Amino acid sequence: MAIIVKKPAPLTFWERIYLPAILKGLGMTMRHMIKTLAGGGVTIRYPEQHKRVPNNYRALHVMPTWEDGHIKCVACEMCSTVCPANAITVHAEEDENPEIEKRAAFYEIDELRCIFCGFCEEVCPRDAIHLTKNYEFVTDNREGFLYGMDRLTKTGRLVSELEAKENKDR
Amino acid sequence: MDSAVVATVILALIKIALILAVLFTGVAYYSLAERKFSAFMQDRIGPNRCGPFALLQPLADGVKFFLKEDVIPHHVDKVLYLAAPAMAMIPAMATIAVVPFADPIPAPASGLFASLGQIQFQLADINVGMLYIFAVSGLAVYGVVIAGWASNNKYALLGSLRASAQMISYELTLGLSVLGVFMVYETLQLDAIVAAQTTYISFLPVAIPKWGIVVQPLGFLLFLIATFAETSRLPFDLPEGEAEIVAGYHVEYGSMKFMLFMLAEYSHMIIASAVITCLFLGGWNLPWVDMSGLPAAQRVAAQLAVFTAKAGFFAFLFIWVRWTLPRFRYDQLMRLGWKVLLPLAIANLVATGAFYVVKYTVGIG
Repeated sequence: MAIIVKKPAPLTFWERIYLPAILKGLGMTMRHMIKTLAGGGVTIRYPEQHKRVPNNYRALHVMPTWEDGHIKCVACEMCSTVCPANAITVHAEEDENPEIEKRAAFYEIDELRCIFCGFCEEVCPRDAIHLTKNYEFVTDNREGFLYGMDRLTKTGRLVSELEAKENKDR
Repeated sequence: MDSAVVATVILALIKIALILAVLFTGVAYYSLAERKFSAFMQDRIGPNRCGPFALLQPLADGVKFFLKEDVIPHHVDKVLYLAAPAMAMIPAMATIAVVPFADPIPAPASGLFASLGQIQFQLADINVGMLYIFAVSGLAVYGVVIAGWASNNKYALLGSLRASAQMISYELTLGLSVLGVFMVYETLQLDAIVAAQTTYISFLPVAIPKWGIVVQPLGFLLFLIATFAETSRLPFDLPEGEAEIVAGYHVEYGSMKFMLFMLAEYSHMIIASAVITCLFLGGWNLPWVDMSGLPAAQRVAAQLAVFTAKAGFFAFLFIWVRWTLPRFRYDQLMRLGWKVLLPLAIANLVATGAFYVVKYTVGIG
């Protein structure tokens, strides 16, 4: 069975002089330019504007506290056990409150090791650790990424700032 | 020394300083415009960090070029390698000398320039203006060829080979396409060509300005296309062809030497825009608007604005086309130049000549 090669139809005169096609192309680029200039651009101007991230976005951790300021964490060490990246270090001590028994004497998350899988949040029996959607916590030294209890209890505030930014930009 | 000579020299120096200042500022902001418009056409934002609307970006680029280390590779021919950027730059700057920007104004009645009678907005009003432009811009190819040869690099050599073949091929079309314009206006002097375009086509009932684009539409199209090739802009940017030969003839150049090539390329485009405006779009004149009644200062300002707007459109067209069309293949480029544009240019020339023969024998218009 012979293979029939279908030759493209010969170009017409208007196609052969190319100019209509060029004008069509120029029209297309101009349309895109006008669209972008009229505010139809897709670029998010990052430091000034923020992309709205979904609420289940996983970034910097927060350790919620009770209303009296007492930390929720009971130092069960389940988070540090489940952590696939070994990013969490917990040392327990006895709490003065006999109903709580145990509390964290030392709690530190190395955000450089963390892979933001969210297992710590899932495994926590006391709802004492969350991953917020605050992804803006860069510093220029490694120590700055070691988040101890003192800082982890306050990162929730950064989230409300981020949300304010997102709302401002939209 | 004769005071008229002194006045002429001082005036020429002032004009050189002003024209170069405007040209280089224009080049700087042309490069910014290129980046911004290319961004808009690709649904992007473009540079927006340096000052309001990135207006300080050219300055930052310039500072960057100045601070770059000035490398001279070991394998280059040093003398030619260093001379090539200047050879590219000088023709680009020299061509603007004959471009007029506005009607001359009367010189102040007293003072140094009184003896001159009038002040022209043109550096050199020579009667072979267009011929001078062709002659000088023809030299531009030397900068490119010598840069490619002296670099002792295969990509650079390929780029310069392509550039020389391209520029020589399209120079023919460039020269032939504009001959029709000289036939119509019967002069090579640019300000005389502009002055001739203030009249209207005589035998038509409606007043249509006798612009080059009206009386020589094919010549205009051919000249425009050949100009794109001469300035090695897309779709004729084979001398650079980033994807194929890295950066072509200037691949071995860095810092200020590279900047000179960039300056030359962008000044070429600005001057080409100005020349097209003079030849085909009536220069600084608007049709149906008579600006000669205005006071000198206002008239010059208006004419400069009109000229800038017209030349600016063509400058924008260079950018616009660049971000629309892909690059030609080398054989396509040669076929277009020799088998399409050149015959068309000759046909246009013959047709224009035939028209004038008929016109003078029959006596219409």
